[in-house]
This record gives sequence, structure tokens and C-alpha cells, in this order.
Amino acid sequence: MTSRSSIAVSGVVMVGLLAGVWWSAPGFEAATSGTDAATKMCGTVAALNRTAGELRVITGVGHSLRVVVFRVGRECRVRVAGVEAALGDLARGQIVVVDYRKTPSGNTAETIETVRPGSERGQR
Amino acid sequence: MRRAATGLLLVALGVLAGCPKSVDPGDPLPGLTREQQRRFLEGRIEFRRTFAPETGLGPLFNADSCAECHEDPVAGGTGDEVEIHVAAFDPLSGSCDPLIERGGPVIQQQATPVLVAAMGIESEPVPAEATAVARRSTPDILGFGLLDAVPESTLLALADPEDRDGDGISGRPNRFFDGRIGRFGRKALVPTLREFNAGAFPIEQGITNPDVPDEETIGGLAIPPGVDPIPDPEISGEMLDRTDDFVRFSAAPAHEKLTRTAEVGREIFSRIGCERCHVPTLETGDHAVKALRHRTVRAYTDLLLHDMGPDLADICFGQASPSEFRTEPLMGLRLSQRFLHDGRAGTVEQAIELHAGEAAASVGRFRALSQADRAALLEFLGSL
Repeated sequence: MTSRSSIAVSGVVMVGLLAGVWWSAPGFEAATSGTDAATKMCGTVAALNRTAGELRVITGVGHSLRVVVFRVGRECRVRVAGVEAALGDLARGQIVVVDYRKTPSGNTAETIETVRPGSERGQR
Repeated sequence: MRRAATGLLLVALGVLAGCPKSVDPGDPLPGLTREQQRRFLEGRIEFRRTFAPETGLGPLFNADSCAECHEDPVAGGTGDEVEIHVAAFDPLSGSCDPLIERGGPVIQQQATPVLVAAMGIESEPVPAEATAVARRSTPDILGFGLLDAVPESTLLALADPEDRDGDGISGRPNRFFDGRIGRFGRKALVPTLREFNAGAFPIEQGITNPDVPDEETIGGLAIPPGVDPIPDPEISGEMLDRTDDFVRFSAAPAHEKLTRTAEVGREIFSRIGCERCHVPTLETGDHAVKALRHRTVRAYTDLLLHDMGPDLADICFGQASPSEFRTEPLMGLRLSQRFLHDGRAGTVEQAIELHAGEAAASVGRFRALSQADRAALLEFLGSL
């Protein structure tokens, strides 16, 4: 074997070793964010209208933001800081988790509960 | 002789294999698997894909592709486009309204011909309720996957909202509307890179996707019938995933080799207090992607909000007040032509001079530097 062919063989061996390391590295399963908006969402109170029984909540994805409107009837349970409360006890800027039903006339809130920042993961 | 030459070659190859390859802007992260590299390359195609009205563009939009703005010097880099954000801030109550039902917070600057014909507008109108109109320059997004992989605990550990250590720096995290800690965007509103990317499609290009299946409004009004007939979502989950892969797997631009002067500049950067907010390195945490796991990121940011003084103040956003901005990452600074969140500074020196608020003491020390020290600091910053 000439020195040139020795060099070539050594190079091929090294490339093969490196390729082996490359191929054996673990794969990655992309995590996709959940966007199931079926019955629950978390957002910030934008406005509430006690008289009309209406709550407006800010949510969204990234900078693409939306206001979701909920009808809040007498049957809706409201809890503020873990204590039973009324719609009027909520305040703009509070973070709430809303369990709701989608109906032909819109979203009907079943429970509304304030949460401390960071204690809930949002769902759109 | 032949054996000795072969041995030397093997040693040389081994050394080369052990040396980190230089990372150029636009390269994928070092250490990606072959599959991840494939997804990075496919994602770059999506990132460069140009949309038209018949493929979902608009009806309002800022650009017809991701790479139209993030283009310099490579896809994912900076750009000269400046967009408009709005909000209404009530200083008495401290409440912040992103004016969503008036078309905010992002006011798109272009409209499809069909929308122009239907509504007679060539861009989204700025709501009359806006108390501030902010300009936002195009940042490079290279290395953002690494920023995404920094644990929240790191941000919380860096925060000092009450300035308990008395150094005049009181960084705090912003929070998204569901309470999660944010880190992306000039006001650090967005918690994750995935959301940042998924949300960018509708607000920048008017492209709905599985994560954001409904269109933006036209200044708060519904899109007129027939103006956007493409069924939603306008791109598939796979296209969104690939675009996200490209951004996530893009390497952070490596800083240039420091000259002796730049080394001095780095010490000055530390001495005058810049690094209290522009934290030189962050560590990523556990991550499913090996190339993102337990990496040191030379990010030069703490991803927190800081008060920058009244002259830079514009909109509020989430919990960020008008004068609070996230510490801009300085990685890739040398790729930028304009500086600060709105591009008002034409040089790094001007950008430093415009810092105020929590940065006032550092700026004072900057102004007191000798010409040589000032030049050294700027040389260091020019290497990032």
C-alpha cells in the first residue's frame, strides 16, 4: 500500500466513524401545542357586563390575540381566590379559567375561577 | 515512515473532529441528527415560501413570506421592514388594552386587491382608541430555539422585581394572558417559540394554521364575504411544524474571534454594568432535542422586562408598561443595520446613548469612558 492509499483508507475510516456517531444520535419527536378549545380556556378578563351577564376574556397564540365572549347565566359558578363569588366580583386584568359549552347562540360559561399567574396552562 | 504518516493523519483528523465547526449565520444547530437536519432544510423552504391571495395571503398582511422580512444576510436574519403595534394604556389604573376588537395589537400594512376593492383600505386603520403607536423593527431569529430551551427557573432566578439587591436593576418577567411567563417579542409576551411562530403566520401574512385556525379581523370588523375564500386553516400542520423546525434548529450566530482590544471591551462591558441585563450566557435545560439540551447560549439577555425610561416608551403589552422592554439578545448583533426595538438608532453607540431608566447608571459610566475604552467596547459589541 502506498502512503497515498494509506491516507485515503484512514480518511474513509474516520468519515465512517463520524457518520456512525451522526446516524446513531437520538431522534426528536416534535411537541405540538394543544389547541383544543372544546370546553375550557384560560385568559385575562378584558371586560365584564354584570347587567348583560357577559364576560370578555383575552386569549390567543403568540401575538395573534382574540377576545372570547361568554354568556354568564345564574347557573354559572364563579370562584374568586377559591371563594364562591358573583360575576361582579371579577375584575379586569384577573386571570380566569372558564369551563364552558359551545351553543348555537355562543359560549355559555359553566364555571369561572380566578387563578394565580403561572398556576394554569392556557388552552385556546 | 508510512506508518508514522498515517498515525499523524489520524491524530490530525481526530483533533479536527473534536474542534467545534465554525457556525455561520443560517447554519443549522451543531449536533442535529440527520432527520433533524432534513427537517431544518425542509423548514427553510417553508420559511421562504411566498404566499399569494389564492394560497391564503391576507386579506391583511405585512409580508408575503417569513423570509421577506427575516432575510439579511440569510433566511432567519434581520430585515429593514418596520411594523406597527398599538395599545391603549390607562396610567391611572395601569390597565393595558391591546385593542384586539379594533384590529390590534398588530396593525397590518398591506391589503390584498380584493380587500382594497371591498373596503377601500390599503392597510389596517390605526384605532382611534390607541394611546400609543409603536414601531417594531425586524429582529434576527437565529438561535431562538436555544432561548426557548432556557428553563423558566433561570428567568425567575435572574428577576429582581423589587430591586432587593439595590443595584438599580429590577428585571421581571412578562406574562401571557393565561399567566405563563413570556420571553419572545420585544415585550417578552409570548411564552414559547411554537406560539411565537404559529401566531406570526396570521398576523404577518394572514395565513391561518391549525394552531390559529381563524383569521384576524379588519380593524375589528369581520372579513367581507368573498374577500378570503380559501378554507381555513390555510396551511397544514406539517407546514407549520416544518417552519417551526427551521426556526428552532437554526444556530445562534457565533461571535467573531475576539481581538485583544475586543477582550478589553468585554471587560468594560462587564465593568460598566451592561451585563446585569445583557447576561452573557444562559444555559438550556433538559430538552427532547439533544442539540438543544444543556447548551450554553451566548445570548446577552436575561429575557426579562426592564424600564428603559420615558423617551423609549411606546405601547403597553400584557403586564409590560409602556417603558418596559425585554432585554434584547445581543447574539448576532453584528448582523443588524438598525438598533433598538424600533430601529431608531443607526449605530450601536447611538443605541447605548438612548438607553435610560434602569440603564441610566451604565450609560453614565459609558459616557465617562475614555475614547480608547469606548472604542474597545464597541469593537467587542461588533464581534457579537
